[in-house]
Formats: sequence, C-alpha cells, structure tokens
Amino acid sequence: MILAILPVIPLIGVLFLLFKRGRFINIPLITSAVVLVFGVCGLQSVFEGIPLNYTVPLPGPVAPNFHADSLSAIFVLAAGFIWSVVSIYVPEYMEQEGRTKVFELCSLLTLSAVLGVFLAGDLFTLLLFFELMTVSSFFWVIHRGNKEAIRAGYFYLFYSIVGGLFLALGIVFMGTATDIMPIIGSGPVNPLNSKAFTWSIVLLIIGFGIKAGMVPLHLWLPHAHSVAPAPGSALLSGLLIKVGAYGLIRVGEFAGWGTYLQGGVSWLGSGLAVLGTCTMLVGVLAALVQSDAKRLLAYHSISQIGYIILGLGIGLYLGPDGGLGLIGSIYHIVNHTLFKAALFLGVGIIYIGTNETNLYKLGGLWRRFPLTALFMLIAVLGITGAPGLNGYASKTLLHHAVSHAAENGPQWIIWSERLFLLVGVGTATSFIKLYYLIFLGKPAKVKVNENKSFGMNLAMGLLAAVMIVIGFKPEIFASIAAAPAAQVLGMKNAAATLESLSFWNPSDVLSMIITLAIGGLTCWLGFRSGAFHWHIPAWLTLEGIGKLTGMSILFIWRRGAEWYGSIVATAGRASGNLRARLFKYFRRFDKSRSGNIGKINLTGISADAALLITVLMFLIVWYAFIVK
Amino acid sequence: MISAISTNLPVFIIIAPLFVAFVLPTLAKRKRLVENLVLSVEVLMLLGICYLASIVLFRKDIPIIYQMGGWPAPWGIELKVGSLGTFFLLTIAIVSLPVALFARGNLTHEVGGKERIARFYVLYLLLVGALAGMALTNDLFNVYVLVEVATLSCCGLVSARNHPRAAKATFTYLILATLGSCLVMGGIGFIYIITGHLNMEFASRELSIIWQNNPRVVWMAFSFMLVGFGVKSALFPLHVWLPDAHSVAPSPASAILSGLAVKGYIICLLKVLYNVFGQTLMQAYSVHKILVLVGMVAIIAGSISALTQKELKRRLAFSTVAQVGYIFLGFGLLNTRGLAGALFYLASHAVIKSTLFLSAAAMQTATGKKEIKDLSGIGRKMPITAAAFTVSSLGLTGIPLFSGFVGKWNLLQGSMESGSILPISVIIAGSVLCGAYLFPVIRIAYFETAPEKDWKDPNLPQKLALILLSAVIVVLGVVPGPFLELANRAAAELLVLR
Repeated sequence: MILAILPVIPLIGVLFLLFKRGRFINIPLITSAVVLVFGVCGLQSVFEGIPLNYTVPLPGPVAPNFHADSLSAIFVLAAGFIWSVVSIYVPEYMEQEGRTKVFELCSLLTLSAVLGVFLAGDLFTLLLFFELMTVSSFFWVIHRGNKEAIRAGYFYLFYSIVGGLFLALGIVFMGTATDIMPIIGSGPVNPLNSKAFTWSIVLLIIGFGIKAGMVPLHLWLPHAHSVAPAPGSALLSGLLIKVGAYGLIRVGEFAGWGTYLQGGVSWLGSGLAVLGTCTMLVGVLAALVQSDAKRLLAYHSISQIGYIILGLGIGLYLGPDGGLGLIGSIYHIVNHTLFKAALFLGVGIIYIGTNETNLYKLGGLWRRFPLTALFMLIAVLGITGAPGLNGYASKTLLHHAVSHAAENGPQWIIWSERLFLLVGVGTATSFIKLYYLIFLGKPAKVKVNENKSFGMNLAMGLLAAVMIVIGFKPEIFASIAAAPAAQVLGMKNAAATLESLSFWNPSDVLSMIITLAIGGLTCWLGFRSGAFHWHIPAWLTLEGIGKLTGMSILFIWRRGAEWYGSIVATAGRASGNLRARLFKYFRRFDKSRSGNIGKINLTGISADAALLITVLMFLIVWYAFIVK
Repeated sequence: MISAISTNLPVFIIIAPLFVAFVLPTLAKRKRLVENLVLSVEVLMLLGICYLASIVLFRKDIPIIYQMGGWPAPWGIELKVGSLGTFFLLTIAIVSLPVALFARGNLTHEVGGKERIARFYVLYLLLVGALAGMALTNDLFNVYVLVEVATLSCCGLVSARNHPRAAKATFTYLILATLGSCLVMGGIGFIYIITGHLNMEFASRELSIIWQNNPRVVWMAFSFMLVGFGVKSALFPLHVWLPDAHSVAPSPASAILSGLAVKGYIICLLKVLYNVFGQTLMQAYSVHKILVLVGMVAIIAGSISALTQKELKRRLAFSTVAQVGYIFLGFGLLNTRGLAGALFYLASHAVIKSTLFLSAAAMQTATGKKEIKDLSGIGRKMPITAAAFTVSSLGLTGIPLFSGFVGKWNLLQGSMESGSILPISVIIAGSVLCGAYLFPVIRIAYFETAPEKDWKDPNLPQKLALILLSAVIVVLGVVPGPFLELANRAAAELLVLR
C-alpha cells in the first residue's frame, strides 16, 4: 500500500501548489519531506530482506504493479532527501530566475515520476513513469526560454523519446522472449527464446544508457544540464541520470547478478565495463577543456556515470565474486548524488551573485561567499575522492573490484584499471582548476549582487554534513544498505566480501593522496602551459564525427544519384536513338521536330520506360539462374 | 427487399460509386448536390462494408462468394468476400470518407474553379469503385480491367490542377502506368496460356499441377507481374513517376493516391502472388527473396531521398516509396506474423499518409508556401492541423500507442521468425530515418517563432476530416483488436499450402 502512496504524495502536492495563495509555505519542501518520512517508516522492512509487493486493484488487463526491495528503497530515500534539500534552495534562487511556480510544479511531477520508476514492479509501469519523467523534466531544460535553452530542450527531448522508443521495443522483445512479462525483483530470467532475450537486453541497455548519459549516447547531456536553472541541473545530474543507472542494475538482474552469464548475454559484463571505461575517459577529457562551470560539471556527470557503469560491468563480469563492483556502484550512485547536487547548487549561488558562470571571468570569491566556498571545498574533495569524505569510500570499493578483476584477467581489464587511475587524476585536476578559478586566484572584476542566501547555504550545508558523516564512517552505509541490496539482487557473498575489506587501508589512502597530488601538479602545469584553453578539433568530438559521416554519406548518395541519373540518361539516349529512327517516320505528321511536345520532354519519359524494361530484363535473367 | 440487398451487397459496394460517378456530370452545375451525393455514397459504402466485415468476423467458416449474373465459377466472374477483401474494403472506406469530407472544404481552391469540381468527383468515385473491385474480385481479367480503370482515373486526378507541372507529371505517369498495364496483361496472358483459366482458384489449382512442364512460362509470368504491378505501386527503382505525380496533384487527390491507389495495386499483386502462384511456386522461384531485398532497398533509399527534400509534399511522397518497401518486405517473409504485419501496416499507412498529406495541404493553403522552412511557428497558429500532423508523424515513425507501431511490431516479429537479422535492422533503421525526416517539421512548427501573419485552421469540414483521421490512427494503435484479427486471418488464408 505504501508503495502506491509514495508516488501519489507529490501529485497531492501539485494540487496544493495550484491553489496556493500565500507565498510563505514551501509546498515542495513539505511534500518531499513527507515522502522522506513515509519512505523511512514504510520501507524499513525491506532492508531486512523482505521485499514489498503491491498491485493496484484495477479491473481490466492493465494493473500497475509496485515492488520495493532494498535497492529501490535506497533510490527512493536518496530522491526524497535530495528533493527536500533542493526545495530549501529553490525559493531564493528562483526569485532571480523567475517563474518559480512552473519550476516547482515540474519538479513535483518529476518527483512523482522518479518515485514511480524506482518502485515499479513491472516493466510497463516503469516505462509509464519513465516517459512522465522525461516530459516533466523537459520543462526544467527549457525554463530560461532563450534560444540556447530551446535548442538544448529539443535535443534532450529527441534523445529521450528515442530512448523511450528503445525501451518500449526492449520491453516488447522481453515479452516475446519470456511469454509472461518478468516481474522486477524476481531474479534472472529464464528465456524461452534466447535470441529475442539478447535483443531485448541490448535495446534496454541503449534505452537506459541514453538516460544515463553513457558514451556514445551522451551528446544531449552537457547541453541539457548546463542550460537548466541550478536546482534543475542539480536534480538532473544528481538524480535523473541515476534513473538510467537504476535501469541498468535491473537489466543486470534480468541477466543474473552473481552468476556467470551464459548464452546470448555472456558479453554483458565485459561490454558494460568497456562502455563504462570509455564513458569515464570521454567525460573527464572533455571536462578538462571546458571554460563554463556548469558544462564542466555536466561533463563530470558523464565521467562519474562511467565509474558506475564500469562497476556494474565488473560486477557482472566476475559473477559470484563481483559483489564489490555492485556495492561500489550503488555506493557511488548515492555519493555522486550528494556531491554533484552540492556542486551545482554552489555554482548556482555564484551565478545568482555574479551573473556569470565562465570560470575565467571569476576569481577570488571566497571573501564574498565564505560559507559557499567552504561547502564547495567539501564537495570538491568529495568528488575527487579525498580520504575522509564520501567519494573516497565508493572509489576505493570500485578500485578494489577493478584491480581484483585485473589480477589475472585479460589485457583490456588491466588497461581499464590504469585508465581508472588516470581518470582519478583528471578529476582531481579539473576540480582543482574549478575551485582555484572561482574562489582563489586573483579577485575578478565582477559586480557582486547582495542577495539573501541563507536558505541556499543551508541546503548546501545539509549536503556537506551528510558527506562528512559518510566520509568518516564509510562502512555504515555499505553494510546497512548497499550490501543487503546487492544480496537481494543475487550477490550471495557480498556482505562477506565487504566484512573482509578495510576502508582505511594505508595503501588505499596513500594512493588517493598521490592521485590528488598529481592532480594538483597537472593542474599547475595546465595553467602554465595554457592547455586548458585548447579547443578540441571538430573531427575529434562525437558530434563532429557524426556530422562528418552524415556529410560523407550524403556526398556518396548525391554522387550515386548522379551516376544513376547518368546511367538512366544513357539508357534513355540509347533507346532514344532507336526510337528516333522509328519516330522519324511518324514525326512527319507532327509539326514540332524536337523531342518536346508542348512543355513535356519525351527523352526523360523514354528513359524511365527504358529503366522499367531493364528491370524486367534483369528479373528474367535472375530466374534464368534459378530455374534449371 | 432487405435480403435482396444483403445478398447483393458485395456487388452493390462496387456498383454504387461507379453508378454515381456516371450520374454526377449531369448535375455538374449544382455544387452542393454533387458534394452531398458523394458523401452519402461514401457513408453508404462504409455502412455496407461494416456489415460485410461483421459477417466475415463472426462467421468464421467460409468466404461469401458472389457470382456475377449467376454464372458459376470457371465461366462467370466471381466476387469473393474473404478476410483479405473485407480488410482492404474497410481501409478504403475509412480513408476515402474523410478525404471526401476534406475535399468538400477546399476543392474549389485546389482545382481552380467551381465547374471543375464535378469532374474531380467523377474521377474520385471511379477510383474508389475500382479499388473496391480490386479488393473483392477473384478473376484475373477482371483485375486487369479494374487496374486500367484505376490507372486512368489516377491520371485524371493528378492532372486535375491546371498547371504545366501537373500536365508533365500526368504524362509521365500515364506512359509508365500504361507500360505497366501492358506487362500485367502479358502476365495474365502467360497464366492463361498454360492453365486455360482466368478464375484465380481454378488457375491456381491447374498451375500447381502443371507448372513443372512449363517452368519458363511461369517465370515470365512472374517477372511481368512483378514489374507491372511494381511500377504501379512505386516499388523502389520503378518509383520515378511518383514524387512528381503525388506532389502536384490537388491535395485530396494526393491523399487518396498515396494512401489508397498505390495500395490497391499492392493488394492485386498480393492476390496474384499468393492466390494464383501460391507459396510453393514463390519459394521455387525465390520470389520472396526478391521481395525482401527490394523492400529493404526501398526502405533505406526512399527514406534517404525523403531526407534530402525541401518541399513538404515531395518529402511525404518519397516517404510513401519507403513505406511501400515495408509492405513488400512483409510479403516476402512468408510467415503469418510478417504477412499480417504488412497488411496492418498497409492499412495504417493508408490512414497516416492521407492525414499527413491533408494536414500538409491545409498548412500550404494557409501559408501559401511549399517549403518546410516556411512553416515556422505554425503549430501555435493552426493547432488542430499541426496536432494532426504530429499524431500522424508519430504514427508513421512507429511510436507505441499509434497505429504504425502495431504494424511495424508484427513485421519485426515476422522477421525474427524468419530468422535473419538484416530485415530487423533495416526496419529499425527505417523507423529512425522516418523520425529524422518528419520530426524537423514538428520542431519547426512548434519551436520556432512565427511571423506576424494571419494563419488560421481550415474550415469545419477540413478540421473534421483531420480529427477523424487522427482519431482512427490512435484507435488503431490502442485497440487494434478486430482489425488485426482480420489481418491475421487474411494472412493465414493466404499462406495455406495448396
């Protein structure tokens, strides 16, 4: 029952919001707090390993199913928390942007949709809420209404609709493969038709991958996340792309967590790991050369999603021993939600204060925004994985998983471990650059508006506090939430592996510190050499490659059409000669001596007719080969 | 009386439009009367067809056979009301009624003058009657006669607009279609030479016994039929006449041409391939491979050609070439799922493409511009037209809950059953390409700023027609039930081994 109530709460909030008169009640905050409280109370039992199920008693064939296990519960609670925090932030920020009510309305609708996705018990319900989420979050992207925002919004919508299409196809293929739609949370699927099952997995991965921003399907993400208002970006980057990650975990469940994958899906683990590595690398490389703070953060969302996908891939690849990969991914999802939201909110405060997000026009702002600077520092340290903060814990887990796989694995895993470390350095570099350029450095000549920013700083403070708590006691979250979730999904010995692992291993701490130090060094080198101002040539970016391929295909097509035309014309001429002789006699009765009758040119038509005869000839010849 | 009507219903459905078509010229001066007469014939047809469909749906045993003039089969002409015939009749009725409604709203403007309206309707009704005949007839020579009637009325429809381009397009079409008819005639001749029958069932029975004695004649018949009907139904390399003809015709005419006329020839080819030659012969001559191959080429080539067009109506015309490719692909899969999918796709494309052409026509009439880039912001000025366009583009792309999806989905499953990966990927790629050439129109219509002009939704009959057609697209997508059932049954009947 509680499962069906949770997604409805925000809808009730929407009703209240529509009829609200006074401006002093923060309805989204109340709503999301209620969601959080209901979630904590109602979902307690699932952490003990008892999943909840609820089917809405509707007559007819379509009855939405709801299901909650500890994985969904983690996501639901994260959503509730992040929405409450952002709701504290919204009123003061939106005073500057305008149209607060529209934003709040969309954000409540999106909350409902997101909760629905996490609690959905079958794939159809999931798809329904997924599409609602796309549509309602689209209005965040176009909130500013300028040309750039509309363009990004169109981009976002196009990609999401295509993603939804892939999901729908995947679901239908799943139906063909299994006869009955698989219930979410029921473990590995035993396919009747393994070909259809493989296709279904591929399509589902593409569909969720678009939402998650997986390379090469990430092109919409930097545009959409950087033009939305800051709270919108925080939610998009913090939670909405995690919906894709959630979907990928569920896809892994259909294939089977904790088993060695066989048959048509045996490539799944290594495939995801390779995709994850590419995603990490592309995201961090692109982020290094950004000059806009929000675009930098958006590219880092891609990079961090890469960590998560890599973890999932390793988890599937290692089979029963892959517990650390899965736990690390779930852990990193939660952590990334916290620090990426905090970073976007912090940049939002700077934007409200200075009307600027270009890093090179900012500087020395720690004097004007001391609290923001402090919280941003915590968030930056969190995302770079500094020991004592939350990013450290999940990155360590992921690193353990990858190096375990690389111990006697094939060459590509060894490479992805090396790249893992490299991406860590890149992350450190770009965030040191971000922090230095905004808060340290020489003071910029920007006009700073005086705003009240108590609520905004409070929101960031809450996030920072949670990050610190997790950072100092990393094992708590892992053992009470992430490990049970992994175990419910099928990783039987996840908890045991976690027990044997110590978070404060000196070598891990040291390697993180070295990573940070190298990051600092490269950052300094980057500033000295001006490498951060390097513009990627168009042919190296995916968009450029797409454009080039498109152009070349078009070119080849045009050339082909020319040839085709000339062949037809030659055939026409040939038949024209024949015809000309015949027609010479008939033409004597005709007054005009040219190939035209009025405005109609006969040559073209005879060419077409010749084409028809050619096709006929071709067919007859074709049969001559078949009939003996 | 009632029983007389209901027993003679099959022939009545064909005769009614033909008869009214010949009466219309005498009433040419009275515009309202002509229009009302056409609409009432259409409504009557719809009612009759629904009655037939309900009989066929609920009486599962045998098809209704009607003997013209009371002459039994090998001598007389037979009309056979089976699942396939009813299915296509339903499609005809569902599409031609709204198109006639739309024509009532804008024809004066399109054909240039009140006095030409009656001529247009004469051709329109002749075409509808001929198509209905194609759906029901069970006789090869009758097929040829109906094909000729349909072709000539199509030519008339294309040239109904007084424009040099129209004359040129019509002339090209006339020459090519006549060549096609010659080939069809030749094909029928070949069949008649070796079987001595023109009735499809008798010819088929005879053919299955003696085909091995005359393999070469059969193969000539196959080639003649494929090329003859291929050129009429705009199969890929033979589509050269279509873009011109369909883009210069008056808009109700292009809707009916792209939506129905092309489909009539496809149904004829289907009957000839499966009812006369049969599955065994198709496999022996690997005709099904040709169909799948040509279908795939048509999908890709047609879609890419459509992408490069700047004029909206030309883009839609090229899209027809691509969609015809889907139908041929489905015909070549040789399994029930694929064939049923192709049939359903045929019907849904008929509805969708006529909606697209009609809404494009409404936009063109309002703006006076032909190119896509001139439609910026039209979505807010003409909400109903743009909504109809959006619904139908979503349908054509194959978004779930719209009719195109059901067809494409069945086609996909059919290709999976046939076990090859290439058709599957081509179908999906075709969908993506279809989105690529239709969604920019929607983007321009809704997301770009409109110039300060007084564009308005068209008048009531046109709006009604658009709403009706869009509703059909959604209904077929949400509850395809009886329609899909008919298609399935038709596919199963066609695939019976003889």
